[in-house]
Amino acid sequence: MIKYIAKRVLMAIPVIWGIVTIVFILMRVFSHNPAFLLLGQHATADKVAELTRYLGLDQPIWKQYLIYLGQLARGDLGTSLFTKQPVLTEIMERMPATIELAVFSVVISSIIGVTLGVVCAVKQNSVLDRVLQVTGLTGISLPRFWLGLMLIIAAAVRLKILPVSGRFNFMNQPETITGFMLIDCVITGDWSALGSTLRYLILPSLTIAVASIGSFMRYTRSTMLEVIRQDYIRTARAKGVAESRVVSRHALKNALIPVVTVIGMELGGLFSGSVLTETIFAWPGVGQYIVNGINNTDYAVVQSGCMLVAVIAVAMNLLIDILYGYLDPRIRY
Amino acid sequence: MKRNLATLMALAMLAAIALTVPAMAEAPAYNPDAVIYIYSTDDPTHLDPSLATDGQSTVVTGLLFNSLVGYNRDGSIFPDVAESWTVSEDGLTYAFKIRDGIKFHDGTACDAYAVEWNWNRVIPWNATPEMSYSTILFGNVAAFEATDASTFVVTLKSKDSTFLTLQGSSSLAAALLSPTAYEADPEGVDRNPVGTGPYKFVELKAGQYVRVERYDEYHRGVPTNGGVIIRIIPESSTAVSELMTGGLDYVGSLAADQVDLLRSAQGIEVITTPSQNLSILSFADYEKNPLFSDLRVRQAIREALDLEAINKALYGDAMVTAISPIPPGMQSGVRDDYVNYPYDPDHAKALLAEAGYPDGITAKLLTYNVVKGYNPAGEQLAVQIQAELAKAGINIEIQILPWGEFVEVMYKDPVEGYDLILHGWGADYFDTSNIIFLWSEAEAGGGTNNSGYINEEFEAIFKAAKESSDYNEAGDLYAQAAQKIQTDLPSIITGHGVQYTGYSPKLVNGGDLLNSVAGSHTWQLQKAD
Repeated sequence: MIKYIAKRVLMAIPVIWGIVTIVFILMRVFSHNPAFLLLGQHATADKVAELTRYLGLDQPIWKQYLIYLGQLARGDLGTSLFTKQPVLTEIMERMPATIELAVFSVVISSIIGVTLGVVCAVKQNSVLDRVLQVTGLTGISLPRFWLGLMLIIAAAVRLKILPVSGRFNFMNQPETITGFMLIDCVITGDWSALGSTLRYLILPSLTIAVASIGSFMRYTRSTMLEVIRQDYIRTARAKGVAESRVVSRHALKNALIPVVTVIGMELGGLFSGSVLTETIFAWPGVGQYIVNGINNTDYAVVQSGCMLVAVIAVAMNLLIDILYGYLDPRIRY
Repeated sequence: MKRNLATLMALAMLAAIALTVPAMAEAPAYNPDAVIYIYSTDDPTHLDPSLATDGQSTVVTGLLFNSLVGYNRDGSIFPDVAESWTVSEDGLTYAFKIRDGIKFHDGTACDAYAVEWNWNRVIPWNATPEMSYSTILFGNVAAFEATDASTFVVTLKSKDSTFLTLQGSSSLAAALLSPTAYEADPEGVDRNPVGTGPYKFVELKAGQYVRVERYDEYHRGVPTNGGVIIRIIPESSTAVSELMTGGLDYVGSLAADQVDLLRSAQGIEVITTPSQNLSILSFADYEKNPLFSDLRVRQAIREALDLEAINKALYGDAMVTAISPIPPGMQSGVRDDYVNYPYDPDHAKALLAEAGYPDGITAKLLTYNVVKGYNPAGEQLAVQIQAELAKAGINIEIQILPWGEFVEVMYKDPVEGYDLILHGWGADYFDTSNIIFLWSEAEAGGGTNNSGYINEEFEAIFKAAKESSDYNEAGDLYAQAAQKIQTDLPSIITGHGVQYTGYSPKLVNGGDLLNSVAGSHTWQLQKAD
């Protein structure tokens, strides 16, 4: 297993290097000079030329590329052209918010999606199955931006039962230790802040989860249908095992193995940030940070942000493969 | 009789009480420790005011710093860190008397030597290229010196009536930073700024908020609230929802549809401030463009545009159709008697025919894809202009670029590939020179004067206005310069975006303070519980 992991990690290096190189070239060739935005509305041609020289952006692209690779080799992800802060620090400041939202959303959507998927499979072609399938498809099709705004209007503005945006209530602000608000509330034993913070998670998580629930439900349904037609399920039923036990113990366990892949990929995608949800709910995650970097042509932010996304994708793939081997005794590395 | 008299007296007393009660209820009852919640769309790029260029930064630096002079709510200046000043007869030397006893938030003195230290850092010959406002604010300074702890003397290169106004830019490079704090940590000061303003910096949480707290020793008086939290909310509709649910106390730069929503919402007040911006349709380097070097063709474009109808259709009441380049919120030159080419599409066609284009013309227009204070409709303005001009046989091809790329093309020298550029400007300060300079010769060739307008008469008027020490005379001269733009047509001014601010009724004096053209007077806001 260790040999397998080491081999996969080594294989990931050229993938990440390729992504870093492509992003570097795209940023230098197809984007505008960031000096224009840095100087604001007084960005005259002379000032831009001077600042471009000052920032070293007048150097040949190959030279800038080598400097960047040298930085990466030293573990330095570079410094933002705009804030002058190390990109790694800025990403790490935002990462807990992204992970917290991603995990919370995936947990909600997995529980609901898988449960509904099982119900649909067991009640195949019934009215309930059809209603759930249409609902799931609607959930997948709803634009997140629209859904988020509607949820805000309904739950926060009209009903006033949930907060509009942000991560916590300023009147009940949790003490920051790890950056993971829920964990920090538990560590400090601040249960009132925990309750309040959970309320802030509901609307953004729901916005993400609505689409994921539909997707998990449809996937679980199809794999369950495949499994419950297998001979061993028929044998279990013939032996007189209760239907609930057949579904939960015999069918679901095997049907969940491919579902794990879908859930893992969804989680990996969310770890890279959910830009629209973060934007609507003022959620301070990495997705929005990278998009701001793209808008500003903040080279280091975009390059390192994309590298981070690539690393997460590779890591999640590896993790899923390892988990697969653990869940399915037929697969061994 | 006595009983009647007593009854009358009792009734009179009751009436007096009844009349007094509403008056008492209206008296502002506020919590001096209440925190004011406002918002910004992104983290501040810089908290060191010498580097600040964007609104996200200045919304914070404006709370933390002061400069030699400040802006009154109508945009006029008042003595701030400088208690008073004298100007030499030739208008070149200013001697500022620095107010005694002002302290930075770190407890060190803000005296003339501190002012000199700050100027040394941002003066063009010492400034780094990132200090974008250095040449704007200090470009005309020849020398300066702190002659003692309370006297700061500045010598200008040429007479300049805008000099004092420029020094009021306390959110930008004119702000005074603590030399002690800077020298202790030159790199760190951009994330831990120390000024003399009404609030002390507490913390910046990336992507979440900036927190500042009341500075009790503020030299203009103790702030009437406990502090300010600037929440980072990228989406303006989310900010409006926060205002409606009490998560924010006021929201500025509202879009027209948001204004309608808030006006229909219970308990939210919406006020307007006079515009200080302008949306501009420029004829790119027109002297070099065979099509537009002819005034008749430029005039045809102007006369084919029903700006009133375009603005009404796109923005409702949120845009004032321009009669001159000078926005209504500027200090001087605001008049209602400018002479303009009228909307007359038939005459526009006749002008084109006269100029040798009886079958109309085709021109390429460059614009941007973002919402701006001077154009809340983004690229839709270009589409409306295209439709309007088509009626007069003028075919417009639109090129829409992301903002960064747009700016890069707009400031090229020469602007190539485009005949028209749709852009705009928001005033940095209140002196009208900050509008008129857009067409100055100094800005031609890679600057804001992308129409390449070079006119001796205009230059002479602009110079005279800048040098005039008479406020009214300067206003008249700026108006003359503005009229030249309207007549010579290097650009067409399409409108001035109205600034709407919505605020919570908890801000008991919000109606008085938030309609100020000089921006935030947050430290004087009073908030009820």
